[in-house]
Amino acid sequence: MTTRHVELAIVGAGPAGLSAALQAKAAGVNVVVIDENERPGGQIFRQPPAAFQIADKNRLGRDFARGRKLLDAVREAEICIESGITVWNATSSTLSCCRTDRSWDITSDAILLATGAYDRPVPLPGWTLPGVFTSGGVQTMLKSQRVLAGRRILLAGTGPLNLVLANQLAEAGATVVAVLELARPRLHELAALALGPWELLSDGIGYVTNLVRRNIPLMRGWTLIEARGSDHVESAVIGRVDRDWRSIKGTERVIEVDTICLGYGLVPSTELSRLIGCDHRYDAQLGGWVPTHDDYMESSIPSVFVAGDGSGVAGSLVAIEEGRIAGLRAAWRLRKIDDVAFRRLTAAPLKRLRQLNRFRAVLDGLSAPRAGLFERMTDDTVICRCEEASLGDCRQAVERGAVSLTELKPGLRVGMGMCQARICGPTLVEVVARLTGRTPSSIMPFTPRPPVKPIPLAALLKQEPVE
Amino acid sequence: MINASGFDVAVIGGGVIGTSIAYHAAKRGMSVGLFESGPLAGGASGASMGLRSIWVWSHLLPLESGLRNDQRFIDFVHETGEDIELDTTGRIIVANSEDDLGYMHDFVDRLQKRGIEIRLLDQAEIRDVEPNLSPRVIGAAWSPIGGNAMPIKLTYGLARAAKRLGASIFTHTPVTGVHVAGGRATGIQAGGRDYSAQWVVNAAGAWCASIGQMAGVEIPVVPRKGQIMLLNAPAGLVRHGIASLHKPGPQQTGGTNIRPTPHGQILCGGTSEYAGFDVTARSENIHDIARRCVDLVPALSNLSVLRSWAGVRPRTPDGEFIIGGSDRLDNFLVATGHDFVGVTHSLVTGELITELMLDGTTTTPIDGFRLNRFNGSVQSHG
Amino acid sequence: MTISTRIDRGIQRGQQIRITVDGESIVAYEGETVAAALIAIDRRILRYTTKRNEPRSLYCGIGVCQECRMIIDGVSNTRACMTPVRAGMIVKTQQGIGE
Repeated sequence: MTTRHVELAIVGAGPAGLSAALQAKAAGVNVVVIDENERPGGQIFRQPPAAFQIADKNRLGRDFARGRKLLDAVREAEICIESGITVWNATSSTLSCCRTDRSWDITSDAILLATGAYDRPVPLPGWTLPGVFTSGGVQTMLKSQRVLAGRRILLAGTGPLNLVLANQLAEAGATVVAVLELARPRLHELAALALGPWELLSDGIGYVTNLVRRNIPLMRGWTLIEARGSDHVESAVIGRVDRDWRSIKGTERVIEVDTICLGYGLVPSTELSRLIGCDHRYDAQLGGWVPTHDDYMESSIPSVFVAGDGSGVAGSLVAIEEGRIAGLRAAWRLRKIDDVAFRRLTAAPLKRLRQLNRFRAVLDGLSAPRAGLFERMTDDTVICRCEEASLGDCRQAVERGAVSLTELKPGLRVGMGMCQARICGPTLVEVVARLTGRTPSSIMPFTPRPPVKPIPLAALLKQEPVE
Repeated sequence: MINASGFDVAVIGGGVIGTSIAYHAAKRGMSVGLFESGPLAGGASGASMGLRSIWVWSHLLPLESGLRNDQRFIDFVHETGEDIELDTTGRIIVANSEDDLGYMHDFVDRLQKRGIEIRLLDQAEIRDVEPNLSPRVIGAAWSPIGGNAMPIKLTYGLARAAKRLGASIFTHTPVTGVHVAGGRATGIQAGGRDYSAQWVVNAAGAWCASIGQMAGVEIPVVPRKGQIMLLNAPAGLVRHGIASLHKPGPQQTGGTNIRPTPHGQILCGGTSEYAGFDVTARSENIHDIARRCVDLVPALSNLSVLRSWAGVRPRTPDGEFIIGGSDRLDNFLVATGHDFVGVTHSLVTGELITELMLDGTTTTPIDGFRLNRFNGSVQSHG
Repeated sequence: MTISTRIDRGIQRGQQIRITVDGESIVAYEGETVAAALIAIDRRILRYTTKRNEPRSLYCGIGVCQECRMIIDGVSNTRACMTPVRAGMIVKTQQGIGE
């Protein structure tokens, strides 16, 4: 087995991973950042492909500019980033890595998992039709690939991403038919939001005023009920919801669209922290099952750190501060900095994190899933896209005695497909909880198995690290 | 009239062995309670290749009994209508070394002399039967007997069939005690309740020893970890279950196994480790399985690996099963030690235990499987 | 009227190349993913499912959901959203589990 050793191995080159790397490197830690994508930046700071030439930075948006700043700092600090690499298995001291043609292990004294998050899958009738994308997917196409995926576009879900995306789509020339937002903030919630950090506040106001300026209706208390079409989406059935996000009968309307973006918030990628054996807890506001950690982002396993959306969905500003703290704590663990330096260096990030968290609590309260979210499915709606198992299938399995996700597998094959339950898993936790009359926190998620994503077998046959 | 909290037999363990016992006992009219600490097939049965061997791994079980195994599976599906993804397309065994080839010749010869359909293949025939087998495989034999079944579906199917025959299946109900009085087991405690039973059967697989302790019966079974791996395989790249045949030794592992599933996948295995009850799927084992399987079928190297997982199998000091009663408590039966051949012997074990309970004797001699063969000589594994 | 478009403001795409999709030669640009190149020309259906034979397209767009799997250069189940185009690449709509 070919192995390399570093002091700190970071998985994920998004805001958390890169911020941690900067702090750790500055403290003298030998650090490597491993990332699955071809270029660093993660999802939020995703850059256009290397083959594209940027003619005018100002036209690529604020995330691009913020990401550029971080990436420039990383380049200046000469952080070692290994892109295009899948971490497919992990223990508390070893990361198994591969590319298409080779595999190797990286051992380290400390690990930081900054694995990010992905769009929460919310099954509803028609959600598998071509033309129904996640908001994150459509944004990635636009930001990185510079492809506008639709002409008449409806955005549905909850949270700030849809507001950002609606403006970006309109800017790129699409007709944004409407943004359906499940949440209807009450006055005191708006007041609490107004006390938030300046960037978030100005961003938020900017998104909304731009929607108004562009005549894009922001329909609060509305949701997508069904996507319709023959072989791709042609129309959308929308309707009003109550405070629990349950549909209000008689309010349905049909609108013509060619594209629907589903943006229901994010769920954290926790496969590696679960493989390593870190403790996890269920927190609906953070996106479901998340690794527990102390104030300095250390998980239940010493020297295994977590940061960013992968440790609980909270956005890029939080991710940056968590990354900084985790990077410094790792440096402290590795005895590169002493107690005094650690306290001094973490004072600012900790303060800012506290400030951000207050704001985030309000925002999470608005956007965290409510009961009605999982009631749009009909018995025919596919929950597991890989194996095409529907809500009706799950209901039958529960009627026959299944009380856990594991017990759905033999009959339905849910969680046994190529995505390893990333798509069906978060929904099935909620569905099984409801069908069995228990709380989601009592439903254990599927056990992740290595490789956490499919890898070419050929890569396993050639065991040597990349240069 | 059966007491709601009492059974003719309390079966401990919800793997292929326990559910088979529950099914066979219920089929012959016994009232059955099966107790499983987690979900069904949560141990070795959930981490099994599901291979059904043609040959008999146990040196103590008569060959004829093993050969009826195929029919047992066909009958089970026929009688219950359960879908266990039964495959009866036969098996291919391959030899990798001159040593193993010599053993294969003897092995095939032995079976043929007893009228069993198996034959050596020449290189052209190998290409014909299994086109993607490596040209470096120096010998192969094919038998229409055997095949595979999906072990988790087999377990669930047995449990469902038992339930339809009146058995009670208690999952997520750990057994916390075995009641003993007057030299007999009188029942069990599970999930905070007491259940009386005429018979208690310990089919807890790798966990048999700790259940045995509850009854004061020492059972020399240790967990042996086996890891398997699943590949994405779009086409009919592999047609049969393929196994490497090795000269038997004290540490028989089952060798390298490859089999297609009906879902466009190929299962590969396996490994053998003594690591306590740890079931971590290790990278090193994934590399090892990949290398060995590509040696047999080079085209596997174009596929992708979907996932790998491990389970612990019950291993006895001599590698043979334990099927029968204990000296201390004659109505406390043990059915374990099936190691990596549990699926093959699941149905026959259920039959044998039921015969012991109802007939006091078995149609197939199983003296060699007695627990007391270890009396005074219990060593660690190996 | 087309649905999708390439946005060229502020950016210069990579070299123009050709790939073959279900036997038809199409234009793509270096740096693009297979999924982006196809969606840009309104080829939204990337595969058909095994059981229901339903059309599927890109969904998550970041390599998580595995919905966009196609047969790319003979390899089934290749994620179109994570695979950059290459001149001469042969792409096929995947039926069921592939070939």
